[in-house]
Amino acid sequence: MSDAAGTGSLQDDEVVIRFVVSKRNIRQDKTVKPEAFMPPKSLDLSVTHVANRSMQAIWERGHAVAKSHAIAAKREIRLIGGAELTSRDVRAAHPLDVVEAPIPEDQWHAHIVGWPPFGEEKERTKMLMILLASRAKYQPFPIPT
Amino acid sequence: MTKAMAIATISSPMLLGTPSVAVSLEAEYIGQHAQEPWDSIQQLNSIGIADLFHDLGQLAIECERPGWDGDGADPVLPSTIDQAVRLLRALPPGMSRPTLGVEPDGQITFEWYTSPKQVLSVSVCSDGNLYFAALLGAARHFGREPFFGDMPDEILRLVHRVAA
Repeated sequence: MSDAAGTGSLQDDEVVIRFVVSKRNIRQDKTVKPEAFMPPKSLDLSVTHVANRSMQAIWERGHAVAKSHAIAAKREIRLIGGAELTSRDVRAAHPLDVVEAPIPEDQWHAHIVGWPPFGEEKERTKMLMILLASRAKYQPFPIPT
Repeated sequence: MTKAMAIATISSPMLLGTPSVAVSLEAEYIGQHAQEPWDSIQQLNSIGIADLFHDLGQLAIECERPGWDGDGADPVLPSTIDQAVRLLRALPPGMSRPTLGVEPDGQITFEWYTSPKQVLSVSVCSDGNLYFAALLGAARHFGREPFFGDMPDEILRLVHRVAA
């Protein structure tokens, strides 16, 4: 893909980020735990793709995501960092795929799709989560100086 | 006692640190069960799971309400905590210790980890099954095992392979 947001699949070499908002999802060695990739009931796992944006713009988006979660949960939730994957990494966890899913708040929003039905085949879902986590690169949210 | 009134000191004799008071039925459950005879602090320490009970208590508190993650997560049910306590007790002495986590479907995870490609994750839920997946190099293993209070052999084998 492209500089302009659309609705198709992302190219293999495109990088997507899953925002991490719980310290529990990061191990002591700064690797990402599979829990960070658990799909929601809709089976559309939200990520944002980097495209040609600055990291500052991406972190701003992540901060907004964490803030919306905090409001919904009525407790403090902060952006911890991001788990980076290429589309190729996602597709290596067959049958997962990553597709554009722009939303008003984020034209670079995308979904990781292709999960087993929610509540069924949990073991297969876990295997896919582990595969994504094994390829993810953790980027900590920089602490403002 | 109602859930709202349930006040437990989850650190009573099972925990190492300073006591913390929690308003949680789950914490009360853990606190009560950890006081049974075999759960003396010496025994918990000697097999290295006192800190895991502490983590479980924290999880129970943090994730007891629907939407605890701000993104529609299911709550961790008392019956799930019950199963997790049973699994903690089923860890054989000498076995490498897992770390605990929680998934948005309200299941508690036990993870044995050496590297991102040498890892086993077991999900504990209230339906009596353990759901597991492991990556051992290029090899993938996943499945489910009924849990009756003893660690299933298949999961034991995978724990040993992750640690090997």
